[in-house]
Amino acid sequence: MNSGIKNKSITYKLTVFVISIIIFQAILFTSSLKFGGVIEKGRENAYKSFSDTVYNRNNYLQSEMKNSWTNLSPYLQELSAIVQDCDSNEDFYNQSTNTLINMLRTTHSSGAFILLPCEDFSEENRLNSLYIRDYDPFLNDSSNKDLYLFSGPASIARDLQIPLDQNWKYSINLTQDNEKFFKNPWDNITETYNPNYLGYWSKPFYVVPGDFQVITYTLPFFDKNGTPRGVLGVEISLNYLQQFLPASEIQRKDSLGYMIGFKDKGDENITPFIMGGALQKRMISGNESFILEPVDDDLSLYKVLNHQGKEDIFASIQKIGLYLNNTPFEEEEWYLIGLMGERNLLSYVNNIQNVMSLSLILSVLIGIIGSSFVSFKVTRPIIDLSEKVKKSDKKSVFIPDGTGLLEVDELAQAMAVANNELLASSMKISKIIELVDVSMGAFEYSKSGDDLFITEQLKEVLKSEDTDIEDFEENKDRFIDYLEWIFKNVENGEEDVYFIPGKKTKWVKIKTVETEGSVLGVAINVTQEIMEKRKLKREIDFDNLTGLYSRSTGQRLFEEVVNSNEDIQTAAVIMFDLDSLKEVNDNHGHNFGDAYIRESTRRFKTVKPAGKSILSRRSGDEFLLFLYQYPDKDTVRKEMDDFFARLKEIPVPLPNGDVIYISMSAGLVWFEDTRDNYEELINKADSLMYKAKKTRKGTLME
Amino acid sequence: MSISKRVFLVTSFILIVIFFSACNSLGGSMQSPLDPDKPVTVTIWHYYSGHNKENFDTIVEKFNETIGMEKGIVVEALSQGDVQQLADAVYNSANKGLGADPMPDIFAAYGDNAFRVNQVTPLITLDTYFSPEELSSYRKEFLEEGNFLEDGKYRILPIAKSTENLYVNKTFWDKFAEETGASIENLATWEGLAETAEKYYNLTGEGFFGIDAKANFMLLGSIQNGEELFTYDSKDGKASLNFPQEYGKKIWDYIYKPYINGYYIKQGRFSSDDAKTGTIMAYTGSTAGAAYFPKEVTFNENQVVPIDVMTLPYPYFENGTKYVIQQGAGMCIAKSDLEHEYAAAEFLKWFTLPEQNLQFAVSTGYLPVKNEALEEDVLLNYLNEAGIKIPSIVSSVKTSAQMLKTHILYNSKPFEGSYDMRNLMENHLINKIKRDLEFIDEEVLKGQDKKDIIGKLSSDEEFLNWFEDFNNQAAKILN
Repeated sequence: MNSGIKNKSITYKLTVFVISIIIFQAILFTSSLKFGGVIEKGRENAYKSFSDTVYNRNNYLQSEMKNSWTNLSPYLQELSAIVQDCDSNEDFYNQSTNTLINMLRTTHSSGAFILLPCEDFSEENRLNSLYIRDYDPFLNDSSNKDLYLFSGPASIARDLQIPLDQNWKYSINLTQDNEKFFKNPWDNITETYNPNYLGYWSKPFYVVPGDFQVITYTLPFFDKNGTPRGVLGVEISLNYLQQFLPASEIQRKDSLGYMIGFKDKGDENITPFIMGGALQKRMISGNESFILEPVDDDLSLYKVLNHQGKEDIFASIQKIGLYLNNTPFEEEEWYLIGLMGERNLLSYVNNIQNVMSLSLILSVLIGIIGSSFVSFKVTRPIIDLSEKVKKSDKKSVFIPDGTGLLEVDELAQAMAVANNELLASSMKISKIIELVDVSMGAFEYSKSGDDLFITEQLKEVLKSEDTDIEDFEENKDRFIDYLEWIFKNVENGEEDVYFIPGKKTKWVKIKTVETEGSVLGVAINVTQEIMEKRKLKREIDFDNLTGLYSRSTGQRLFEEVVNSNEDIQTAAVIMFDLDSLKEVNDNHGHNFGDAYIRESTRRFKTVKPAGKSILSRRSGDEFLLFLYQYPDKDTVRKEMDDFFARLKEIPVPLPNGDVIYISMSAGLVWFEDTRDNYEELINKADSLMYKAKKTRKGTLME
Repeated sequence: MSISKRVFLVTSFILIVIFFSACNSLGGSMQSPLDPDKPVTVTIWHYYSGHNKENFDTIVEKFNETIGMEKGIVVEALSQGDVQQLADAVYNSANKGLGADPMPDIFAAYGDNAFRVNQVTPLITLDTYFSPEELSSYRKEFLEEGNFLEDGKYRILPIAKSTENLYVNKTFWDKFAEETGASIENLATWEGLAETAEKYYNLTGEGFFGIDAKANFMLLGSIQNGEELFTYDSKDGKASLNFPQEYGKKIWDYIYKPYINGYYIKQGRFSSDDAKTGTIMAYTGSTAGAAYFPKEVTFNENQVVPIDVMTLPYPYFENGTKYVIQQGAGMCIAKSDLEHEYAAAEFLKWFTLPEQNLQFAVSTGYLPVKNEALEEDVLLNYLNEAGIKIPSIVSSVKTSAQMLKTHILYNSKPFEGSYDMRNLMENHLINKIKRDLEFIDEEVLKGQDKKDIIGKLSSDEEFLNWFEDFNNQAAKILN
């Protein structure tokens, strides 16, 4: 089953495969977006769109400035035509009121004014003026009810029936704070004669203290003779200007909005001076110049480095074209600045990135769930099939159910055919073994699973008197326990043979082969062989008639004792020979002769040796006795004397009713040197025995 | 399939479904019908101009940047110029007149215009969006103006109220008082005022006094003398004129005559303009115009005199009751849809909280509308804290706070034709005065004696002519 390939479930493999594909696709998608420039493009688009908004707003603002707010030429001419000397200022104002109101209406500004420097100007820095305000330039009322006289003769207000402004004054005092709106165009008159080139945009200032901030556009005007007479201007209140800079245009909510910044001659950085919105004022300090880091030069997009915000703030900066080239104030540069936080500017790009990450996570998640589900669907029939195969009767033909998966079904069918064929052939083998009538069985069990297969014969082979293994078939663990119990009973001197204890001991030979997943074994009943072997062995080791050790066994045992490290102390080799066996045989028959020998043997056994003894039968009437571990020679001698004495005391009955006494002669050799040769010892004892037989039968000669 | 796997699958599916649907269902359970992500625009039409407008715009901007952003409300405020133009614009929109703008969500209105508009398109009654507790925190008299149908429902939410003060050029007065022994107690009654003005004229040849709001004067004079100028019929919304000849004569004596004699003058758009140019030294005018009281008098280009301000309670007729006007348009919510009405109410609730309300009202000479903000010490405290330095405003707020104790607040009730009636009251007498003054000038130029002409013009016969004419014109309006 295992062939070096790591085995993983189909579920696992399928899932990993599908997820790999999904991740690969996601990475491909992501990197194509990233490296294909989609993200970068998105970022550029965001920058572009932001810059476009500011650019368009700037265009709108410029056109408002050019076409409305600075469109003073026609009125300039009208006023030039009627202006006279300083003494007739009030007349001039009366005549020019309508022109001024027309100008105020046409320019859509929040105020229009004429400033005339007369005596008071040189003496007290006071400007004679006619200054009319419209607090709501979007609303034009023909009855002039929305106008206020900000400065100028009260009679003009009375005639127009318009109120005097809260801060109304007859004339305007010039101070350091407000003088530029008059002085800049006025003092530059020398440079050019065309008033339109002398137009000046003031920075926000208060015309009179306690008023609100305004910016003004002013230019000088001349009388019919070309003498400079004063300054004409319009006012844009900051509040009104803010309405041209709608923060919501940049961003519907939380917009940082627009601001206007300026850069004077020699300034390096832009300084904000018209700010919009509380949020903007919180983020940007109005007192310090911007420190900018370019982001995109083509789009005039910068990062603002000095701000109080937590995220990056981007500024799209467009120069407002206030002045023509080579005019006196062209170096005063104004900029429209749109501001946006990074979070909002790049929200689209960030959204794409978020959506991408989210869809990546989701697709992996869906991939895992989906592929697990699908592969589970695929593998379930396979798992069911294998469960069925496991549980099926191994000895019967197995017909697999359909799984609904063509390939799996074909495989299962093929396997079933192969398996059934195998089953058939193994049954044949079983039958053959049965026929041969060899008591042999086989088994196989899997190492990890519950599978156990045993042949019918095995049950017979392994069964013990109190254990029937019939029901082991279904219980692998019990079978193995039983087997292990058997393996403990090793039969000595026999390979793979174990005995099964009982009234009648049974021997079995079991051989097992382990494969990777299973153990295969064969068991043969070898009781017969073992019994025969044991019998054969006894015949060789023991004398058949007497049950004493045979001649060779006697010699082997002697040598074993001698060669062992045992202290043999006093030892002797004694050779016995029955004295009158030939006569007994002749007179009373061989059967009695045999009985006579057996009785002699029995007599040896009646001796209780003080040491140890080995008695063997040398030949028909010869016995060899080896005594050892005796304390001394006298003990041996005494024991021998007692033996011989008892022979004479107890008779042996003869078949005819008579009795005879057993008589034997013996020769004793002391065994005193372990280097003594056995044969030599025997020979010595033998000759001593013959000497005794010749000299005095029935005695022992030393 | 094991149970845990099945559960896992189902749970994942549910989670995914919830995840995707969550984006759409958020906010459904909120009480407010508004979605901060989809702000509704609330249009307000008002009549503020000048500094009031700047001030109003600033507070609206603050709302848009804070609460408005939080709640999804954008308030767009538009000035319609003045009360009359506003009234016409709203009425035009309500009637879907040619070229008229769509009806605003909120518009400022006096009772009469609210009444007029309500007849065309219903106004939201405040109890729809304001709890009884919320309503009871407003000063009762201020709210009462919105109860113009007398059905116990308020249709105008007061946001700032003005009253009238007598503004006096203290510098000039002190000098005059020193020279003549005149007392400011003489300025407490209409009779005393006329007398003092005559004295001043005789001394200096200058005008003394002007009345800014003639209609208010007529209404107040009547009630001060004991009876309302109109008898209202709440059932059909009509009113009848209750103008006794006796009261007419008082007006004739204490208003017409001083004007015709030059004791009283009205030249500029507002009396404050006349005060700025030194034409008059005192006038009754709205506290809302307090800021317009001059700090200096500019006689001409080169003669500018700094002056101090003194504000006094509104005058009353001798033996009469001290009534003073309460005015200032409130805000009406036009019927539209739940979101816009709710958003409009939210803005108005915020706007009338003392913090904003004091900022808006007091700095421009108005009074706040909630009881807690109307406490004298709260008002004075605010003047200090906010650092309001315009003397005329400080003085006016103090006087008004006093008047809340000494005077009864009176507001004109709307009725069918009340708007035209107001115009009649505003202009009928003053136009006659203007004509008569021109006539005097012409006659004088012709060589007639000024006193003779004045004597003729102020005769009882002339009075009856004017009285009859006024009654006739009023009858036309009132049917």
